Amino acid sequence: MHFDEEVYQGKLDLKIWGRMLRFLLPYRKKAAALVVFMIVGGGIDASFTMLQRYAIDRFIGEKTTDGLALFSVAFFVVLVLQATNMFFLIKFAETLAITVCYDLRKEGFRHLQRLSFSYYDKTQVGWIVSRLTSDTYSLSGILTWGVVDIVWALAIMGFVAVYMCILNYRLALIMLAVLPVLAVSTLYFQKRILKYHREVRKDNSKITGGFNEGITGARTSKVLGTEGVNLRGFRGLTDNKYRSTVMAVTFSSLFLPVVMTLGSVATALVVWAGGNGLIAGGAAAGAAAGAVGTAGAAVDAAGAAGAVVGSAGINGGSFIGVISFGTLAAFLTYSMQIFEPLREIARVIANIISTQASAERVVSLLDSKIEIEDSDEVARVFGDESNPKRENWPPLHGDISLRDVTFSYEQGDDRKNVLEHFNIDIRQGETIAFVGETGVGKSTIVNLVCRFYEPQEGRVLIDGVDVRERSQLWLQSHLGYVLQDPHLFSGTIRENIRYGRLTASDAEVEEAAKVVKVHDYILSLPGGYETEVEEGGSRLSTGQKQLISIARAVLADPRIFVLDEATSSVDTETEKLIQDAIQYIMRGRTSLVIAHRLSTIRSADRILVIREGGVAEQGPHSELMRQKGRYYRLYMNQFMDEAEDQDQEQEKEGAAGEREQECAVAADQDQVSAADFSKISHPGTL
Amino acid sequence: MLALLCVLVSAALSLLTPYLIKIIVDFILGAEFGDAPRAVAAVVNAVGGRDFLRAHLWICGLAIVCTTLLNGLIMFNHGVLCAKAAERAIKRLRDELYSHIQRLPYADLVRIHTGDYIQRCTSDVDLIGRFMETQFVEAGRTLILIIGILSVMFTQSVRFTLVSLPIVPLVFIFSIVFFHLVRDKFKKTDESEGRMMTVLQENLTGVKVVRAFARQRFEIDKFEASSAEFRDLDIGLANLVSWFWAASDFLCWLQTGAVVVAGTLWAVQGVVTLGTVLLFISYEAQLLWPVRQLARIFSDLGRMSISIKRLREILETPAEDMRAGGAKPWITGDVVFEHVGFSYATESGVNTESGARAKEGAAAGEDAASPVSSSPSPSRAPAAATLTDISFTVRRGQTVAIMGPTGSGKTTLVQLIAALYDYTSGSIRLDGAELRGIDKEWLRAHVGIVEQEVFLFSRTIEENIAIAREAGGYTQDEVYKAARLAEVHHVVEEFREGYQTVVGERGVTLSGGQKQRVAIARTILGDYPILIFDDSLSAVDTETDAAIRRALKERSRDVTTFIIAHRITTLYDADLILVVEKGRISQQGTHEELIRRPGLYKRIWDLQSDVQ
Repeated sequence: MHFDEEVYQGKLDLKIWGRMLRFLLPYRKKAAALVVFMIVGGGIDASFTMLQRYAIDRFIGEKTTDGLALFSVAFFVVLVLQATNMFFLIKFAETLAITVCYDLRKEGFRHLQRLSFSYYDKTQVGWIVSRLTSDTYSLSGILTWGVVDIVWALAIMGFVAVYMCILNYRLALIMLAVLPVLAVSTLYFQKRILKYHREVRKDNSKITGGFNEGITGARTSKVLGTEGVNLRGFRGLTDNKYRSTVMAVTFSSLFLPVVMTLGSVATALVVWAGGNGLIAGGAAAGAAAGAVGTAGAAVDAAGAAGAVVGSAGINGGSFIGVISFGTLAAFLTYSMQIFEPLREIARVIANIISTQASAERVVSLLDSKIEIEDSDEVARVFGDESNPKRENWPPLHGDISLRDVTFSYEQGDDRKNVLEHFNIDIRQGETIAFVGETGVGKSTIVNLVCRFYEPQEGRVLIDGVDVRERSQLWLQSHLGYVLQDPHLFSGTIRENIRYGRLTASDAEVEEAAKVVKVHDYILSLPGGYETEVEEGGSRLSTGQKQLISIARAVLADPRIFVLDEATSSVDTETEKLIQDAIQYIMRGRTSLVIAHRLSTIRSADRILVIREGGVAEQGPHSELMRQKGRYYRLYMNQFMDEAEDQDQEQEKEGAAGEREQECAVAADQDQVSAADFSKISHPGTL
Repeated sequence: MLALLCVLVSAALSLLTPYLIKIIVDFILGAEFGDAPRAVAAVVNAVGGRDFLRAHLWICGLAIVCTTLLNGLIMFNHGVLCAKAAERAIKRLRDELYSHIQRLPYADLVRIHTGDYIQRCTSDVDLIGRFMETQFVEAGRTLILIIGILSVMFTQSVRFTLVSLPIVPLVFIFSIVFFHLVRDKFKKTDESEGRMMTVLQENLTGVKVVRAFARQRFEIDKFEASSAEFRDLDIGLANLVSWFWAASDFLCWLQTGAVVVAGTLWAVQGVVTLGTVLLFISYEAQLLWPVRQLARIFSDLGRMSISIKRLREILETPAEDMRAGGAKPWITGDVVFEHVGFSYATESGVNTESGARAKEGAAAGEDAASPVSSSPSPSRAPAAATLTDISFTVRRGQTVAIMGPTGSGKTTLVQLIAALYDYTSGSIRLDGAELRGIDKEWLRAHVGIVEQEVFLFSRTIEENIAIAREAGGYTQDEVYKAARLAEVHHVVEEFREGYQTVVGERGVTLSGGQKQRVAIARTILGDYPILIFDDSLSAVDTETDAAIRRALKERSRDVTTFIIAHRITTLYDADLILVVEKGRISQQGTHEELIRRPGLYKRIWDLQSDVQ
């Protein structure tokens, strides 16, 4: 189980957001247009009420229908305008959000392609994936929609405030007095609500983890008879979720009533003050014109009211002056309308605060240090990943030397060295088998040769030149690497083999497949070379995947061939094919093999038995057998397994595939843990 | 029930506030007091009469605040009540699913698609939960509100009501059609996003391949292409959505416009009052927007019924009958197999794939490829092998070693002892009691199996070792002792957090051998009279293997032990060695007997002797 560490933060970190806003820069014109749309939209929204007021005062107030048709037309035009505005607004904002999201992902992915292996050792694949998917998504959303919503809300509030002041600034002031109270309480609520929701989410992902474990581990639970214990544990999780959800809902249910009540205070104020104003107006109008019949009845009462109000010391009526019916109606509407944008602003602010964690994580990814980088000098001569200058590349022959190399996967003082003052010379075309317990540094040597890591001390020389004086791409373009756990990409088999050399023709791809004798098998598939390989290549058996990954390496025609031999074996027939293919590809190339197979080891020019920090024994098979040392003992233990192993593995594969993704992650981490626990030997697989 | 009442009252109060304003505008501030309905007039007079209210307008204001407050209180109550009910139902659903899956027969558990089941238990349940918690309540509220608004409108002015309504159903239908239409697009966009995520994920898990072939540029292009595809689909969707909002907003405003114009006209003519016009405008707003939301909920209903179906498939798979037989005999470790046969029942209740998924897979022609593939589908463990005529006798405290090629049925044979599968012919007796008649829980409390594929729970190492004893209690000493026997104590001690190290979390990855040894410690602590090691020492080196077996033997002489292994050194000192080939016992006897007879055992023995 792995949860995002969502730390609740109350403070805005402007530096992070400044960094994020830079992603909007390329689209500043669009963003500016968007702001204009927003302001226009907000203005029109606020104006609808003004139109209503006009209708009430102009027509109902004056009891005339003159110009009503014209008014209808005007209303309709404003409507069409608003709809059009709305369309462009959503379209622009949404497009902008998507584009910014795309840019964020692009930048992140490009950076990932340059990050060193040490980064991948420390970071789980799942973590990176969520950074580039959900985090970039919520970030781009807040960067565009957040801004849009705030501008819209401010525009509406601004317009409403202006309109109200124009209509009657005193009444406006009375009503706006409620606003700050509302703003503060809304923000408070939104922040709390988000916090509770985050807790609910956390509990929810724990339940997902619970199901994950309950289902994958159900068989084990049955064998151990621990169903009851598991269920109790799971009930604890669902209980927590129930509690946190009820808490969250209680709080968010409280929010709307509070806001509504505060809002109704504003409405009540308008009724009270506005009503008094209206009555006063009625009195004045009645007294002045004596014509408006309906107002006549109000005269006395208004006078009385004025007296009462006056004597009470609350100068309501006279304070706001005289207002019309239409104005009162407009104020009533505004009193309800103005709080929606306010809520919106509070929501966005709370959201920005909660998305800050996402922003921080994305920034941490974008800013992770690239530990192995070609120097400027090297990059100028040999080019970089996206723009290699192949014409300047010298040929690679394949002599390899490690000189006085000390290496640790960790940094710092208390680090444990996997290699210490290590030396080795490998001649062009030689085949070296590395043999030894897990975690003693077999793959470390290979990783250093490939420059996946750089030693803390000492030098790695290829053809007598320090690898740091050549570009990474130069070296890695001449590598052929076959992994222990063959990794295929989704796509067709053909595409997977062609990965070795992108320019290879179909015939060349098939030629490579023929060389490793997987051609016939591929043809036997219904789709032939166009058969889709599922994610991680799960449709094919491990053996077949291995053959395809070897074909891929054959096509690359590398100068240095690296084989991390699988510990698990496959059925006898495929095993034979793999052995043949490996023998073929090793011919004439410098080959480094992290070996587990007897036959591979025996055919090597030199066997290096690695122990902690260095080489224990080296020499060809026959010589080492005569010495009856470490190699001899390993050899004896291994033999029985190998005879049986050959058909044993099929069985294991099945169950192993289930946790395929985890395994892939674990594989990445193996190096770290291997380094951490290198004392704990587990030599079962030689 | 209480919640329903809350909804009703709350909806009524929501309608009351605009009505209150109408009364104030029309009767208190306006001049039509004479036209006021009798009930309103009665209330007004009770408070002190119209003139009194005109003099004390704050009373009217207070009334508005009070109704809103009351409404708020009820809304709050109802929100909490609904959430509690819905959340409780969801909790029950989750618990039920979890416990049901735990109780599925072993044979079904072996065959399920783990990923599919997890998805059902999480996203499908979430979907239902969301629906129940928010949308269901909202839909109910909206419906009540609509009914309420309509009835008030009709009592106010039939003519006006008719003008206020025509576009409302249009908005509803328009929304429903829209949400249905975009569903396909949404799905396509989702799939495209899935592809993008696959590219990303594969790039990250295959980072070694990418670097080893220097394919960074190629990968960047690939990712940007798939990311751009997703972006374009998403923008297409955004276009549609903006059309929808603009158009439906237009319709909504049009309706409001009609109300304003008609209201103005009639108010001028004196047909309706100003208050009524304001009331209608306010109601219109309360009607139009929820209707759009309602349409969305309706179109979500389809998705929900699919989710419900997928969950029911799980819940309707019959669970294992733990109490079958029900006998609880004394089990000390005598095991007798007589002509035992087992063949895998092809029919099983478990639905390994949802209908929709299976169809999709078949449509893509994927299933056609599987017969060619030589390995079993990776998400499933290997199916049980067939066994024929298995007979042997083991006395309490003896050690039985089983060897044989892959797929010959060794694992199935030992699984029969724990009743993970039911034998189809012959008889198995434990201390004379027929195994079929024994209560399964009782049986499994006496048979400990260390599986081939070790599964550790994401708890601390200590909890993992003690898990089988968690109900009965254990001491730390016992845990340490079991760990020492399994030769894993010194390993755990070296971890920074020792026995409190959480398995599977970042940083701590146990090696295969370490996992196996933790699993052995776990089983040892269970104190079973019958112990089964199903090739569970394969990732442990020979010396450790021997040490563990020696320690076990010393600890308890009475434990009957079954060991499946490939190493002769592991096998040769057993009291009885069974060689299983193609579901039959081809040879049985002690090491001394077997090396004198030709056969698989002798061949492998000779191979090793050769070396020595």
